[in-house]
Amino acid sequence: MPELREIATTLRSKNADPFITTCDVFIREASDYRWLKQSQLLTREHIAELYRMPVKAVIGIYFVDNIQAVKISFFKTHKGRYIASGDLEDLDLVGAQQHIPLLRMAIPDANLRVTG
Amino acid sequence: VHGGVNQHLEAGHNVAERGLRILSYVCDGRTGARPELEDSIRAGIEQGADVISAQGNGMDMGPFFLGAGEAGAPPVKQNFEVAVMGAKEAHIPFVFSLGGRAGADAQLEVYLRVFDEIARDKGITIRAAVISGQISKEYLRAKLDAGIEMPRLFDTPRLSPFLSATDIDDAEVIQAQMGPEPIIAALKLYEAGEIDGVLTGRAVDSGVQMAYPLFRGYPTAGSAHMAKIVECGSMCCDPPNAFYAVMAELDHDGTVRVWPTRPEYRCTVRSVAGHAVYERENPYQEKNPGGTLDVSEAMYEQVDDRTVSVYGATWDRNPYTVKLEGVKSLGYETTFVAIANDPALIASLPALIDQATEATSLAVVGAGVASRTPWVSARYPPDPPRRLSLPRRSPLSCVWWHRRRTLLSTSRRRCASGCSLEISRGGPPPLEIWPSRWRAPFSSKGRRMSSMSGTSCHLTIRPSRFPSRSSSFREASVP
Repeated sequence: MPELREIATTLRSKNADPFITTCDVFIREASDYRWLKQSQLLTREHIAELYRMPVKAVIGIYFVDNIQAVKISFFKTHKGRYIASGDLEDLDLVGAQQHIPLLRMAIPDANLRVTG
Repeated sequence: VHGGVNQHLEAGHNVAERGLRILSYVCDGRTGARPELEDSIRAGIEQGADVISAQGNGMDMGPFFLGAGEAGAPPVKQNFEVAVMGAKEAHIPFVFSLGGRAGADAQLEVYLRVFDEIARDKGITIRAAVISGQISKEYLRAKLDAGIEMPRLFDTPRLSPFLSATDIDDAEVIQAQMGPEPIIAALKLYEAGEIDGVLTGRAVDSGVQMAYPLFRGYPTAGSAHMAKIVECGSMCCDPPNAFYAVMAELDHDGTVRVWPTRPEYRCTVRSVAGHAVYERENPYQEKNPGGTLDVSEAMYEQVDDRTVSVYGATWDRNPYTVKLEGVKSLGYETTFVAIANDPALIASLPALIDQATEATSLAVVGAGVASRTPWVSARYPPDPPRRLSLPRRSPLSCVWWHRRRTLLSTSRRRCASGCSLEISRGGPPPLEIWPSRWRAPFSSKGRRMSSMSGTSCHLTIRPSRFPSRSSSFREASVP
């Protein structure tokens, strides 16, 4: 099954505050981007499951059409509790490795044109 | 749309004919000393910069540095020197926000010393307007007393819904992200020939680059979008990094052209539009003091190989507000890793750890910290991962953690190279010992700080090496 990283040019993450991390996914092909946008792959529920956090901790999933990008923003959490940068439970001070779970997110659609 | 690097390099342009040129880079010390950055600043000045702007503080690393009064990322003199000297020679102003990992007065002071140094070394006078980013508690209390509500920016349980008198009392220090307005006020002094530039404490990243165009009467939306693109220097270029300077040219109709000052890099539609969404939780709207920048209708266009033109952002005026950032102390903590290489030492490690535990608790009580209980006990990992299984004579890393038993919570922390430790509620927290590649004792020291909320409490102790004598634990910091 193809993975999200295969259709992306860039996957990155960064804190947007001491409390919030945001991931950017840039998709290479317009067709893949359109497919991803209409698929129900990137939903708040799915992201919450992937990152093991409460759904309400997922702030938003934004599709940015003009650059074929998806932005996923969520509160920093640990075992369901809200944390801040530098907390004992914070494993990623600047939130720069929080895109890793997205890298290997499986893409179920067999018709998807994988260009990677 | 016009532009292109050749045209940019043409001499004889003046601001009335071309746009206003803003040279921007990151000056917070995390870039280190880079000849490439210095070259790119020089190149930008040669390409006709009308102002040199750089952001130099941020809070993404958390509350510690603000609370501890430390800069975190020490200033790099070279990165300021070339800009200040260049600005003076070219008769253009500089605008820097300063402080590193925070921007209160303590951090600002650390950065200002570098300007003293530059002035001394070069035998010049640097005249600058310095704007504090710190907010006095009295000021905030007066606002509260006047019935002004200060709601939290994000709906997180880590912050009180509204700033309370207790929050203010508990705060070690409070700073505010200034917008461009105080800088604009200071730039009037530049116009009057009284200063060479402006240095600020905590500021909105993009406020630094917005100030000069606004001062010159350029439209707010274009200025704000330009600032948002160049605020991290070359992060908007391909390849993206924050290590050198970029140039933006702003027209009176709000059109922006962006290009890297170094010839080996380029700006592409993707790199520029991609950066406009960076570090923000919402890609379209960005709250700023006094307004919201909306880039959802913005258009990006490749002008030439390495220049991108941008237009179409809008600015929705809001009541003027600033973001307050406060920090309260939770106590002290320490974590450190020590290495044992001697097989005999490794064999007797459990006993040594017991000894060290005792010595540590004694030292802590001796340092005047009240109501301590011993916290640490040792065990080997019950089921070490196979990859990390312990070959004979492998160096060991010991990680341990101690904190007030009363505030103990269950948590697990992984250190950078596969070390971990665990603290559990009820019963003494266990110590885990993992093999590690680390060869040098590692220690981190500091007060734990929380963004106006939190429950944990830690103690800072800096040991010299493991196994320790009790004297090596005497450097305890006391609240």
